[in-house]
Amino acid sequence: MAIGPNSKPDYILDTLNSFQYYTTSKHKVIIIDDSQKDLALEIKRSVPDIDILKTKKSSGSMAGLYINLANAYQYALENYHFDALLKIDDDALVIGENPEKEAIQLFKENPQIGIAGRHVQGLYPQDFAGNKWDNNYPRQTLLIGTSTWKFLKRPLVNYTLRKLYFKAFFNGYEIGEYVFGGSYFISENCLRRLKEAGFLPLLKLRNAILGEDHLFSLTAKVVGLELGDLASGNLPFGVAWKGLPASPEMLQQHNKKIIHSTRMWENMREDEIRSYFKSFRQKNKKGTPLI
Amino acid sequence: MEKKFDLVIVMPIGPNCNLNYIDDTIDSIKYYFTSKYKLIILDDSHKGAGAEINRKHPDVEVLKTKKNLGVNAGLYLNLCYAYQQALEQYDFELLLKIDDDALITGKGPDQDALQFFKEMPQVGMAGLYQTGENFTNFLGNQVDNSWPRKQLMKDTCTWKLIRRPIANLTLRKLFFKAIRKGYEIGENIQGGAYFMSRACLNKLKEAQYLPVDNLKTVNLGEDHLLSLLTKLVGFKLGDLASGNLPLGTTWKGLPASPEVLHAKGKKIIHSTRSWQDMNEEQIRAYFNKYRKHEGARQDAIIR
Repeated sequence: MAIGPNSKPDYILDTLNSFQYYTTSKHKVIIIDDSQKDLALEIKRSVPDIDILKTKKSSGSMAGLYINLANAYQYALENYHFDALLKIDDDALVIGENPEKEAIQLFKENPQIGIAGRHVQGLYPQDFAGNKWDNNYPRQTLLIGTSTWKFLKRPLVNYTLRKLYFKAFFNGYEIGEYVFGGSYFISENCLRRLKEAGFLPLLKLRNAILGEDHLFSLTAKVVGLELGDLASGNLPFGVAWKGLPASPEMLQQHNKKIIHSTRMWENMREDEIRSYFKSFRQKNKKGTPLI
Repeated sequence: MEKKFDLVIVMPIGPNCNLNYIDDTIDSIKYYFTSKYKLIILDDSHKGAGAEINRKHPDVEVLKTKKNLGVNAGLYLNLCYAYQQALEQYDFELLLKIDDDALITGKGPDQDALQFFKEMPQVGMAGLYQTGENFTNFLGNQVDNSWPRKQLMKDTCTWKLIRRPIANLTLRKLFFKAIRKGYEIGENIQGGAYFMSRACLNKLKEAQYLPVDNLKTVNLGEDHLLSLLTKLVGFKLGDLASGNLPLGTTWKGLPASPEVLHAKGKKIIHSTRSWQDMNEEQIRAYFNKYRKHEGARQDAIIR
């Protein structure tokens, strides 16, 4: 989990608590602290068993976050063995039992899949609730940045991106496809291949104007892996970019287990959304919540 | 006044066509189609094949091309001429483009297509929908679709653009616009047999894409170009081939044995050129026998 300068400790703890409450697997939590105000130390007081990776200076979102995450993934590879790595934003929440189960099974049955979650493809794909996603941004950014005169605006990064894009394309990459970054799973195999290819991180991408999710998805295709779907129908991801993709009740009805973003749903604010799901955890108390 | 039909069928024939096979395909159309249709032969043979067909099938309209432009984009130009003629002369719902090595093998594929386009007016072109580097066909086999993907990228986004600067620059402009409309690189409806709605053809005509003359030397098939242009004018590409849907088409040879195609309910097949050890003669004889057998059975029922 990457946290930034505007992250709220209460919400971070609530998300960690939700994960701890519902997951049954043996796990390790790594916090990338990009807050520049030691927020992670505050979290560690309540949740001692976490690893903290502090960034030297705030790298922002987009490709800066890609660099920070790539370093964290590298750290995870060097220190742990795992079936899956879950990347989760601090405005995501776990709301169902064994959120990791489907991902681990998917990676086992389909070792060619490297990243899985909400697989966004095409210009206006629909999610499980029938919402249309506007996927114009990564499609246009890739095409314009790598194949028009605008390439010259950032020649170094765009040249790097162009090489990656063409390699990925010949491996079957569809322009702009990615696994949405609010939360996703990556297999250890994928991370190893990315590391071997020198993509953890590829520093030349630091000025790319694409999100970390676009970049990880692209590089996963470069190393010959596929992107997997864990969000359609009743699969466990119920995620959207801004706000929730459906009401809290509907997310539960569709057996969603990891949701994003808790920031809002229609007139509900983040506090209300979080307390709605927290009440379920309290009602169904089976283990000891962290906080 | 425009004559009214449900369907206009356009069959291009080239200098290497075999009149017996064309005759067989026309017979299969006549035998299985139940809608009101008009058949146009686009004669690119330049040796009077169209006139020969006309003698046997006087109801068929023959359009002679001015000069042989070959396959790929040349065929695109000639087909656009035929589609323009069809729009001007006839009032119709759908247009079926069918190669002379395609065959009708089941009853009413025209009705299936008419129903499909009625239910999905946003679809402009339908048939075997090919997308991605590889896609899975109705038998669960992986089919390679890398060629149009690579061609498009190489000729519009690399230095290879300058090999045919006018054609490729024109293609590049259309390609970039199409991406903004949701086109996926290299997606297409396979050209052996496909349907197009009149609404889509009208839009293409309005946009002056019937044809875009500058495309005449691009290294892509007519099906790739028309699929891209269909997306560009805001229509979708539709699938009429997966599962038990009526098209059993692929680029080279048949996608399955004649028996499997029958069992899967395939009604338009392509290409009859070969299936494993079977040659065109044998494949056509198999389906011809089927038509005769069915015909005899129906006669017996009537009697």
